[in-house]
Amino acid sequence: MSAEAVPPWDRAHQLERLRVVEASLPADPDELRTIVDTSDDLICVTEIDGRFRWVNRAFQRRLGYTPGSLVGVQSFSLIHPDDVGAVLEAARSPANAITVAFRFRHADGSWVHVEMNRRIAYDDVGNRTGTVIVSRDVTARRLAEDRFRLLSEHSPIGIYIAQDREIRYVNPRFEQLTGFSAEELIGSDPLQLVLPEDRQMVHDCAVAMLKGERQAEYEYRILNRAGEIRWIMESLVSIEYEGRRAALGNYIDVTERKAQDEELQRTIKELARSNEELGQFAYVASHDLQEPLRMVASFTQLLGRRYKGKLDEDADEFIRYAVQGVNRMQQLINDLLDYSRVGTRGNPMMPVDCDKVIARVLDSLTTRIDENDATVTIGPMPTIVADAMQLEQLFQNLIGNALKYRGEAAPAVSVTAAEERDGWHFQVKDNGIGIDPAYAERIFIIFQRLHGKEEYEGTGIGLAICKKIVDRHGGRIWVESSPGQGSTFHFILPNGGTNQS
Amino acid sequence: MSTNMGRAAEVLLVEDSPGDVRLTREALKEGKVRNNLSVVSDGVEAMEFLRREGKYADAPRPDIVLLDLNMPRKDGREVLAEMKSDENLKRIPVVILTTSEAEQDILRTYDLHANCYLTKPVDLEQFISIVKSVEDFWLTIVQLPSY
Repeated sequence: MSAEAVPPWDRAHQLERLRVVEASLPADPDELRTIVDTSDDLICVTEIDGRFRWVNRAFQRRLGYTPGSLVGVQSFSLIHPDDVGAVLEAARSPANAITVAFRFRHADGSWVHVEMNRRIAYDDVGNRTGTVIVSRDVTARRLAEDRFRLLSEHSPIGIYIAQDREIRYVNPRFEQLTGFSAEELIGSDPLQLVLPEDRQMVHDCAVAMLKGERQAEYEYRILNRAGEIRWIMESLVSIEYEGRRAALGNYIDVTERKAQDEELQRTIKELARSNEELGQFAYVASHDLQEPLRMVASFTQLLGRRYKGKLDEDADEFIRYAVQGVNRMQQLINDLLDYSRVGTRGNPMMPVDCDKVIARVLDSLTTRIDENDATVTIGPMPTIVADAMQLEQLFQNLIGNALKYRGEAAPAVSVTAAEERDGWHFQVKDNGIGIDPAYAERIFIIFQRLHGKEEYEGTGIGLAICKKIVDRHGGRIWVESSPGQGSTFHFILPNGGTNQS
Repeated sequence: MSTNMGRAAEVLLVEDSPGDVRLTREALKEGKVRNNLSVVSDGVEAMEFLRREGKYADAPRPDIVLLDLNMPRKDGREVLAEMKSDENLKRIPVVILTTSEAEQDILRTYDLHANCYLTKPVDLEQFISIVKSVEDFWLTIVQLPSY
């Protein structure tokens, strides 16, 4: 056994210390053995060349080796290759007590994290005889630390811990979000980051959340290091940190989403406003146009009434055209008014029994049904949430059209309803003249007509009103048809729903 | 034909549109009831007429008032409210004649005890028949209070 060279002054010092230690230890070797064997620490003694001379029970148990199997085994063969360098360096250190962290190989091949205290053993005359190594298994602690470190470092959420209104900890993402370093942040009041006008609100929300009175995250603005305003969504949890109450904050940057939200809200508001304005405009225009038009119409008609046949033929003709034009204009303005009323003078959405609505429609169409010798069959109808007046108008227009655009045969109209995934699907089917599919879209546009005024009267408002009513209910309307084959008008109204109240 | 009062009916038209005044006049002309039509063009004048104030000191007491709703200075709603709270005037039948189809107008005027609410039709024939039916109803059928 070759004694390692130890500086004489060090050796003398060690001897002195050993004496002091021995004086405080139990003298009985059995007592000492009991202490060592019942210790939870991993204790071993190695030869100067590093082979195990002796290991305690905890050492065997923790590392999974059978008693005695380690004696004579090279201790370095059990140390993780990456840690050998550090352990060697510690072993060679002239200082007596050294602490180093490394990994021991468990019998099953896994690695056990330990923190080692090394102590050199000397014989009675001060020669080094081996090394006493006391290690502690810190695997569980290391694992917990690793988990925390990985979670904290790689979290996309800014995390901080505050205690007594001072930041105690921030993760890297928090530094990134605020632009300030951990050194700058730790010790500061988290409210300092908050825009002054939001501070009271943030304070109130934070207090409520920590008391458990509030669950929802709250949003506010901070000023980052670059002086930019960022929107933060935060939630707080009350935790215990270093033995005292603290707040754990989760910090998410929602600036982009906030900007998109605001843009969306602006667009929606703007659209709603322009829609509203347009609706009002159409209503006011058609309403106010009625007044002068009534004058023109009334006096033209009075002229016709009083002077028909009393002037010459030309005068009669002029008056006739004037009356015709005025009547037509009145019709258009009335229809425009009806059309704009769908949007501006709607009634609240309420449960409506479609059977009753259709019964009223058929009642008002009795004369035309009889005149046309038409049959109208109604299938089972649901109760839906709708504007009853508008629903009536919708059926009135569609069934009315089915009678109006009849073919050679007596009109046969059927109305059915079926519940589908996106709502109630209604169909109004006829055996009339049909529509060229090329015009299937156009017929729903205001004042679009497919026929001459002499053939079919009307302004071309009926289907436009239908579309507007269906739109207001959040549904859709379309037609399936071909000339001579009759038409089927379909519309779907969402269940109990509407996109506009 | 005469009224059930045996004299020409006194009709007060409160209307600011000359066209409508003329039309009403023409319509009454075609009617069968002998009537004297007086016209004022706003609510202030209407109240002066009814209370025989100022230049209307010699005004006849109307058997019926045809009242437009929308007028300058004092509108039809105010005239109606004043008439119906005036002991001397509240028994005079008032027919609201207007282009407003707004439901709130209709409700409000009935609340103010309008006797009848008529929307001016856009068609001359209809207008004439409405004026005639007002005339028939209020001046020949209904037994109006005697004064």
